[in-house]
Amino acid sequence: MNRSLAITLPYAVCTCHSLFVPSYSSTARLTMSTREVITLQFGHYANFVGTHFWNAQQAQFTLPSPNAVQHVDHDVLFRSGQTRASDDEASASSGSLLLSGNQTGAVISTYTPRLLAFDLKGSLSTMSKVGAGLYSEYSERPSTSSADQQAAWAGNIQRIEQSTAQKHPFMAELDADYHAAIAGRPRPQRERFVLDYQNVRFWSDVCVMHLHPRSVQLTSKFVHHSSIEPFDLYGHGSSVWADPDFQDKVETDLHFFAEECDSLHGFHILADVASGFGGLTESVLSLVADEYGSKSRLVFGLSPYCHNYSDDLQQETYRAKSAINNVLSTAAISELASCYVPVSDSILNFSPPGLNARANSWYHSSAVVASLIDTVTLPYRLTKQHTSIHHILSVLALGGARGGLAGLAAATRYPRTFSPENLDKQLESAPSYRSSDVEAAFTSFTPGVSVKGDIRSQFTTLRGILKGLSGEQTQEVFSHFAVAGSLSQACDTSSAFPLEAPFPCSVFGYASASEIPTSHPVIASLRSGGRVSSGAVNHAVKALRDASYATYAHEYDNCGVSRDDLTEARESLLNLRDTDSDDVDF
Amino acid sequence: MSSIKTLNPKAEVARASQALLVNITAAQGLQEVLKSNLGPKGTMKMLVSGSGDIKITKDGNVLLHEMQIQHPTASLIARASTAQDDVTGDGTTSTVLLIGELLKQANRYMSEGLHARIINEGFEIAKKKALQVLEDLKVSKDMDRDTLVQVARTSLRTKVPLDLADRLTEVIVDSLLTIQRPERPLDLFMVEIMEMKQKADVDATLVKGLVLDHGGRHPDMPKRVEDAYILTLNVSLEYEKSEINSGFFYSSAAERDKMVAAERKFVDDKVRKLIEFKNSVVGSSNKGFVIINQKGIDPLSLDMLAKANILALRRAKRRNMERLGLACGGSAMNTVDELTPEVLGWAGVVYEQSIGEEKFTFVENCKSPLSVTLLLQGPAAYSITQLKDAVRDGLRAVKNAIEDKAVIPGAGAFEVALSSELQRFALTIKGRARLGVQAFADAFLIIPKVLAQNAGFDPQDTMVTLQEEHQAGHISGVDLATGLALNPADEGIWDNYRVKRQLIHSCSVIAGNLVLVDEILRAGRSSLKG
Repeated sequence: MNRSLAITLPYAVCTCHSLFVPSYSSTARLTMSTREVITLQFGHYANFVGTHFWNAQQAQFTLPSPNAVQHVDHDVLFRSGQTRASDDEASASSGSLLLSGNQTGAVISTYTPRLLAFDLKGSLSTMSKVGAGLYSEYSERPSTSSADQQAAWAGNIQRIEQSTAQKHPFMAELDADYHAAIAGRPRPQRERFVLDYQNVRFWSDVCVMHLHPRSVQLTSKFVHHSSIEPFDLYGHGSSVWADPDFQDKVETDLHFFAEECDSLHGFHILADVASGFGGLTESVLSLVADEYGSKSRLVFGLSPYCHNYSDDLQQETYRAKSAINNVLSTAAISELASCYVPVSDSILNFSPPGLNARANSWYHSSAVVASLIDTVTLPYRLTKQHTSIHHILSVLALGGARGGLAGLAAATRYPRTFSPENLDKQLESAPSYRSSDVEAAFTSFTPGVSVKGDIRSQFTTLRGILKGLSGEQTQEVFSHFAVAGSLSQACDTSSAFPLEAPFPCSVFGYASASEIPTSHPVIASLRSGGRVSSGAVNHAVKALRDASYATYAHEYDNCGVSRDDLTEARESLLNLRDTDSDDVDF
Repeated sequence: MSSIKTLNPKAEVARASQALLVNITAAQGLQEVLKSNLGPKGTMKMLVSGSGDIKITKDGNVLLHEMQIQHPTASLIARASTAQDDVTGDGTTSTVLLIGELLKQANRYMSEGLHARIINEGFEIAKKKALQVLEDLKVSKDMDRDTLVQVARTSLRTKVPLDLADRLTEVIVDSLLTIQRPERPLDLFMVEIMEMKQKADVDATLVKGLVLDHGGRHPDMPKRVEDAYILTLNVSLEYEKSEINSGFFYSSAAERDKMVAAERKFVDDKVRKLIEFKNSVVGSSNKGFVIINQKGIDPLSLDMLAKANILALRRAKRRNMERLGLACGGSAMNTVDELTPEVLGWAGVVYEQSIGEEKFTFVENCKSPLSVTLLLQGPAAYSITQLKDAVRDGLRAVKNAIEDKAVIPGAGAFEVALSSELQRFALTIKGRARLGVQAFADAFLIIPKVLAQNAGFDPQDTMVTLQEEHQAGHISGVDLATGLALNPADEGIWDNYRVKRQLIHSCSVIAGNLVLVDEILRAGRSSLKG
């Protein structure tokens, strides 16, 4: 059974357990040791998804793992760095856990995501653009020497202060804990903080992770939530990129994260494709493709069901513009990406079983999407038996020069764990792609693609659901989640998705705070094939037909997107669909 | 009742004088904000955002970009004014001030019943005359170092503290003179601006070569190399394992290992060729050897290079590759085969410096470099940003002067002269268009007035003195130390010719258009009176 991929079998199943027997030569081991991934997030919704994603990583640092082994290799996504203690931290008690010395200038080790997060001016609320102040040398508070510099100015100095925004109570509590830790006081015991979805308005309201000062990329050309000029046209993104200073900063900061990687593996890209960020994604991605051409680029194109670009923008206008932006983005980005996965949370409106998230709250819907993205990207972030992004893409038969479309689906009805004793019974009632009521058990998060029917290939990740099964039993479970006639691979890991505040646990159906466990099992898969591409493309093209482009033609014209561009994008999507269905299905 | 009201009851309409009022209020609001910036004695503004981010500036262009302007007219003016900066690199504050003042003067006549068309006609006539006056006043001279220093100083003293401005002036002019070649257009991109955050005073230095923001990634690599050959490469020295990992290409562990080894050897061979090449050119001499690669270099290759005493940098930025060739000579290679000594560049010294977790590599003392670096240092991000904005403006000012081959007397002298000429010229105009010219003439006095006011003098007093001096036939600008008149040529206060020309153009066009607006519609929920 080892490693032979018999692709003619009805259920070609291969476990990641057996895929890599650790038998590399020492040379190979050295170069295989780190497999860094850089994450790019474009837009407020993508940053919401990203925030939940990073919070989950943070929670995993401390989550007790079943076998007391570190399952997730955090070095893939994170970098270690160092900074100097700021004056107030250093002068705090020497009992601090964070400092290796207690005088000013003590070196503090940092561990921050390799991340560039793009957003508009005014979207950070209470967060500083250089992160939450982990790096004191980047801190903007005027120090004494800059006061001297101001004094050098012979004339007047006028101070114009924006009213300080109120910190979200959750963040305020975190801050209090942090200061208590610095002062050496024990962390007060508290109830789990349950956040009301209505008062989480910015992703920075729930961002637990400390970001590197180079991570946040703000454009000052457009203002978040603006009624005068909402950032809702594809062409706006390209106009942001046209600013040479902005380009320069992005290039420098991307270089900062990429240069230090010994073995850069690829890029995770989360992009809002319904707004102007689609255009920005295209611009930045072509830079990435140019400079780091040989690295995998896995793009999740997100289109949230509702918008929050501006109060003035009507839902109807948003629908139309997002359909147009979506077609333009999908056409452009799928050409630059190794794999493009369209993702939408609109399915949450139909309350799929097992999920109880509000599609009209970005805080909620992004949490669900983040849990799935965290799950499908887990296989190449494991300490042991890891695979590579490229491997997953070749399973999906997307590894070629041309990018392709893939779909994202999740099992929504399944037992919390499979146990060795009554496995057969559990499997009987568990969802399967072969059963007739597949739609009740699986949910597709790619609009236009149903979970029914055959596909070319699928890569499934099961996390935290198999406990103490034998190899054979594992195979049995895997084959249960395979799709007939397709190339299916699965990977399982014991590390379930962590549920820690500020994650909205109610989205997984936990009603009261008392019944919330520390983690939640998730089954999610990436799938590809003619049916997936045609479904996704047809959906996008149909939405475009309904959008009445003529109404907005002048707006698009003004930002440099002509009717011809749109027609061309549409054609290239249809082409993509047709070539993919021409492919020989396994 | 406007017909749009029947279509959209939520629509708001402002008509005729009301529309003009909306525009004037917006223009004057903006003027009020930027007024205090003008001149070396203007107010420095410190912007603190809700989350504590700081920006210190008195550059009108920067301020307009930072402000979240909600009023449509103000936003239009702001965009037009920042376009002025895009084109010429300076004059944003003046544009805003002039537009506001032109509308104010126009309103004086229009409230007495003069039609907007006639005002506009007057503006057009006045603009043509103003451009003529500009030609008459421009001083064509040889652009020697002294003149350029004066031009840069005039621009920078309005943006950063005095002693800093004087320090910056020197490095800016020297950087441009270093890369200037006869008969070639000046390319500002060839002056790279590099920022370095460190706990030290704000400073700027000129590096005759390049500063890269990364360093060698191996502990045994030399940190300082003198008399160095520079080899620029665009060759991946990285073991690209992607296909091998995919699992389709092998069926046993042994086969896999073989593929891994073969792939590894391919990379190693490239590195070996580089080392052989180094040995052949350096031989037993004391010369150093530095490789700067645009692609990646993995740890094993770095190790081999370090053992051969080569400093190797990976993932150099593309534009640095181009600039390396210009600074050090040599050309970038896309293959390691057939390397010849001709492709090598040279630098006097290459050394590394680390600050916190960031590393910098200086490639310095190049022979007659076509590309240089201005290194800006400061203790905080905002101080460096302020420095950077100032340096950009200074570079533009010097470049403008070199290209114009002419300068204009500063300190408000041009505006005083222009205003007087236009007053005289207005008397020769027949018909009511004369009033438009009159308004135009009066409006330009706002610049010297505000200069005087910001320095703490009575604007009327200063104005009278200046106009008297002008009548007497002297070129006179505002002396910010005394509030009296001075001759800008004596003090070395020179403005850019093209900045003033663009200024006359853009403010008259925009003000003219705004005057002509007689109906403002808005079909949305936000109010016009924002």
